[in-house]
Amino acid sequence: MKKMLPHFGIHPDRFIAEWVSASEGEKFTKVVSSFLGRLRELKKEGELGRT
Amino acid sequence: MGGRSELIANKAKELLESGKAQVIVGYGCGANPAAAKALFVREAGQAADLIFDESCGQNLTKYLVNLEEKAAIIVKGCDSRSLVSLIQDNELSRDEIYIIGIPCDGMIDPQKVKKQLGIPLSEVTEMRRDGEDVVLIANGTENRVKFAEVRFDRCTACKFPNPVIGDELIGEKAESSPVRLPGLEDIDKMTLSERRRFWQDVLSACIRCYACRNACPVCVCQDACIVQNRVPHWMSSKTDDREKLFFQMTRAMHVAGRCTGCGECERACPMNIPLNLINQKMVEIMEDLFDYEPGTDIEAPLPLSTYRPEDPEAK
Repeated sequence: MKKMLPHFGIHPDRFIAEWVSASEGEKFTKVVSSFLGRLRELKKEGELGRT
Repeated sequence: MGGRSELIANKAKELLESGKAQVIVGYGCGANPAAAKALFVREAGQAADLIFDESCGQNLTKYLVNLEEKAAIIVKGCDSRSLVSLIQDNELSRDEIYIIGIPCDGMIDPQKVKKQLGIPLSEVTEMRRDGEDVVLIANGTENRVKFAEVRFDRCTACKFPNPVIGDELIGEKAESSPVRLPGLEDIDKMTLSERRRFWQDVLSACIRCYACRNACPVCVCQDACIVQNRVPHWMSSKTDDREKLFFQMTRAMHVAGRCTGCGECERACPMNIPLNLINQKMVEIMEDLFDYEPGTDIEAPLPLSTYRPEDPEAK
């Protein structure tokens, strides 16, 4: 999926797949926050154009 | 080349008479000589209607999935790979089909012929191969075009001109000098936003008719296809650009690892959308990530439905 997205012109960082167990609340917030952070960066760079 | 049709007809007759097959799935004359159509032969007497020439671009393998009779099928190199994919998927059983393989050096793209000649295909009354050329007779005049210029793009990229499985081979083995599918290089050179625009442009023609899905040999979800599923309602049937892209991306992911790049989706598309640019890219990624070439080895486990600890992680 990550390899296919750029072929369609979508930044690969818009997609993540991560294993988080139900007991790993802390990891979950970390994953989501860093993903959100990355999306905000991409938005600033203008990479989140509407398809 | 004309001799092949005769050999096929003889073989078909023999299979039907001996009871080794109840139906022969092959090609017959279509609406015009540049596009043969599928022909199901159940009586030995009809076997002579089977043909094989450069107009047999259709991939017939999907018909086998819903056939209950014992079938024999005529396959080209590309089609044979679809058969391998179907057998790996347990959609077909190798013991129940008789495979007649035919080496091939390309099939004619009716759309390209139309473009080159500038006349409707319905006016073409005869087509024959003459060495490097194809001779088309339309309205009584003879037109000569280079075969290499009118064959399908996918044929120029063909790595398997000879069937990979089969009970019988009819014709001389063919050789190919494959190049990368035309068009992929251009996409690779584009920036992300250029690619987005490119797909938006080509997919804007899509009418969501699902011919690509219906023709695809490995699209076998049938009633459970995501586009018709209402619970959960993943995808709307709107025809806006986002939904069209979403549909094609989803399809690409669903056939990943099983799609052999046979190009049937593109051939079936009534809007002539270059769908193989999606699926061939997927095939390249599979090769790159998993070192796996779909539809070449009947025993190979499917990379996306098998877990191995050493599976690569896409970065």
